[in-house]
Amino acid sequence: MTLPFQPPPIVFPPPFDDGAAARLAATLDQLADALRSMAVRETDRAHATVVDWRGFTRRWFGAQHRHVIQTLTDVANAANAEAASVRQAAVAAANAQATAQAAFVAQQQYLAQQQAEALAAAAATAGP
Amino acid sequence: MTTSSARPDRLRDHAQRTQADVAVVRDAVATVARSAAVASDRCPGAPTSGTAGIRAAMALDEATGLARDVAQIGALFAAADANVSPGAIARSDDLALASVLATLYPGLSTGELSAPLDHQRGLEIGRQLEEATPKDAKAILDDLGSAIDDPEIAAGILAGLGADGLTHLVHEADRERSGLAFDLLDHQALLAHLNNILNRAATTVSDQANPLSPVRVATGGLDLALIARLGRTPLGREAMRAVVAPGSPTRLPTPVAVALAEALLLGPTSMDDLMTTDYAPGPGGVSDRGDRGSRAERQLIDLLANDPVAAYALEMRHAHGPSPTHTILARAHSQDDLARAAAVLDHVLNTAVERGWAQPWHSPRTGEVALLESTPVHRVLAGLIDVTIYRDSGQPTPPALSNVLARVVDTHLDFFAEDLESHRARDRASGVELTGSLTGTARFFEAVARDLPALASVAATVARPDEHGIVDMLAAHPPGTLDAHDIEEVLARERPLVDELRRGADAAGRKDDMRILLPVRAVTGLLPAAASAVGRAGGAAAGGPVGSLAGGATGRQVGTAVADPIRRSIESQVGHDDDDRELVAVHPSPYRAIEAAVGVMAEDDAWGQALRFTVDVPDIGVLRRLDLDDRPADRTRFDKWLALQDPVVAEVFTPLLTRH
Repeated sequence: MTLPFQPPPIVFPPPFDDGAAARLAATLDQLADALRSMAVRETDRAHATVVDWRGFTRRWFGAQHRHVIQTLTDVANAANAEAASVRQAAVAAANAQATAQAAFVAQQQYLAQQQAEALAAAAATAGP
Repeated sequence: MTTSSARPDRLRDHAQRTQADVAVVRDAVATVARSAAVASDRCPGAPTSGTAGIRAAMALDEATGLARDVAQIGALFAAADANVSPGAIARSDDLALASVLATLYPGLSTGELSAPLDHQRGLEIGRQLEEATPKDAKAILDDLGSAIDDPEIAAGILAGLGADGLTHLVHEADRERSGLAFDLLDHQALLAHLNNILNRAATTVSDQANPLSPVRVATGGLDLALIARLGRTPLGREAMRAVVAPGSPTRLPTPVAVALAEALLLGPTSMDDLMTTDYAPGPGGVSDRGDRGSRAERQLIDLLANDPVAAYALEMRHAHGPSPTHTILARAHSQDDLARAAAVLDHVLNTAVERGWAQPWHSPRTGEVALLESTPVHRVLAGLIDVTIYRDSGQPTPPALSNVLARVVDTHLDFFAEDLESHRARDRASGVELTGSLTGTARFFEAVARDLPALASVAATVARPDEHGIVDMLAAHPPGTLDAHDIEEVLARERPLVDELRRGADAAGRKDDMRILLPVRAVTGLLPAAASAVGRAGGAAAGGPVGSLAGGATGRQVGTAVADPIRRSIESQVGHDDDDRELVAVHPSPYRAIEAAVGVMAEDDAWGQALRFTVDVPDIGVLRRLDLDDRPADRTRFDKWLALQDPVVAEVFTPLLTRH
């Protein structure tokens, strides 16, 4: 018995490890926190260090220190952004999986209905 | 040379604690790397390359490097001050500290950390230049090669030369050049070197330094006091002009731009200085030096035009005395110069608004306090009406300046309305300065009207019907001291305002806008009103132009005497001024002229009685509507009124009507 229409098979997305993604995002956020904490401690420390520090070496330190603090802050922001991207990827993968599953179920129902209708038609043709 | 100091123990502690922190954060980086490695196979589509971890590792390397350097600086201080005890402050003069640094840690001795040594080298070169002939000086600077580009060396050279040395060097170079003892190309090369040195040295001054207060140089760097000293003498200024002129417009730190502008833009011009000194004019003559001075001034105005903070700071640093912005505007001659000056003006006012200086001002008419009353910003705004922004040479005001002025007026319309009022009030009080201020006002709006985004607003300000105020002033003027000629002069100077408003309206496609037409007509209406005032003033004075005829004269004689000054006023508007420019003829409304004539007649005993016995004074509203719209119904009313007049009355009005 041949069905009138044979739909293509549903392609499922590759498996996505939500746990691994969550762990990566969490460690990135922890890195960001660690960098920010370090920047704060560095700043506090510098206040104590520059007491009685005068002259051209002090000006040099000021510029270098500002640069380091800025870099630590920038990288912390980048780590948070990367963590957010990982979480977004996890959500997107889950959505893709759900969509494929729903399509698969609908396809199975369609095929079952087609098969039932084909059997009924065949029985009617054969007669009593 | 100044002294450096530090607590070596604290520097060492700082380094150790930083390195401990780095170790902790490196663990977090390693954790991220492990998590990313796991996720890379299991999380397709997720960013698992570990970019943030790599960047974090690099940031930690930087922090580690700084900690190492700080520890070395601490050790350096301990080495430089052999007497320092643990926990105490170590001291050393900058040059000695930098020398030890270069010996102990040569890798660190660059940039800021080698500044004292570089500055010292520059100082020595500057002292050599002080003693050198211009030719030798040029050779010394040639030999420096790229070292001349080092900011600290450049600053040291200027410090070593000093104001007197620089003045002498430039003066000698010019003098030898004028006697052809110094080759032209070498002369130019020497000045180019000095220009480069100034620009390089300027970069040692922080752009963030407060330009409103004098900058003190702690150690090294360009000493701005040198520029100020050069600005105090004619030869010093000329030397500075020679150094500034060869460069191309560039951006300098704000405090340097302000210092240079103060030295060269606010005092005597280059030509003034050359005329008051025995400065060698050079082969090209005084004009050659004048050109150099103009180039220098132009470059400095460019600096201010490109640096809003500098333009504003210059104005605020001279809160008392003449406004620098006005001085710059007044010095601008060419169209380009005016455009640059306009940018300076724009910066000053915009920055004032941004910083909250211009906002608190409220119209005194509303009863609120004028907080700007005594600020330099108020001074800039108020002075704009008086500053000579219109060139008597007949050059048009450049659009850049017109646009700025239009924006200024539009933004501060209340201010200008009040200011115009106060000008006119002063004129009324003094009775003699009307011409000057009206001329200034007319020129101001003439410039504004050229390219008018704010034309309608400006026109609305002008539209304040002020003819009655002027009439009152004229009538109150001491009898016999004012005649039609004075009025004609005033009105002739008002013509550019009217013409420019018309042209501006045309250019803006708003020639039918009543907000513009009304002020034009209001100004046009000044003529008969002013003539009327002449008649009234004369009538009140024995020997005045009308008064001599009033007593016992016939109505026809009085009427003729009234009409004549009006007619003369009209005719005198057609002609040429001193620059042979054609003056535009004034064609006042006949109805307004008749209104004025009737007003004079009514106040004359003999003629006024005759007039009252004959007809009522014509409806002024009808006359004014005729002036504006010339509607048939009003024309009919006027014709009926005229037909009822005694032929003597009609004869007085006929010359006025036939003008049209």
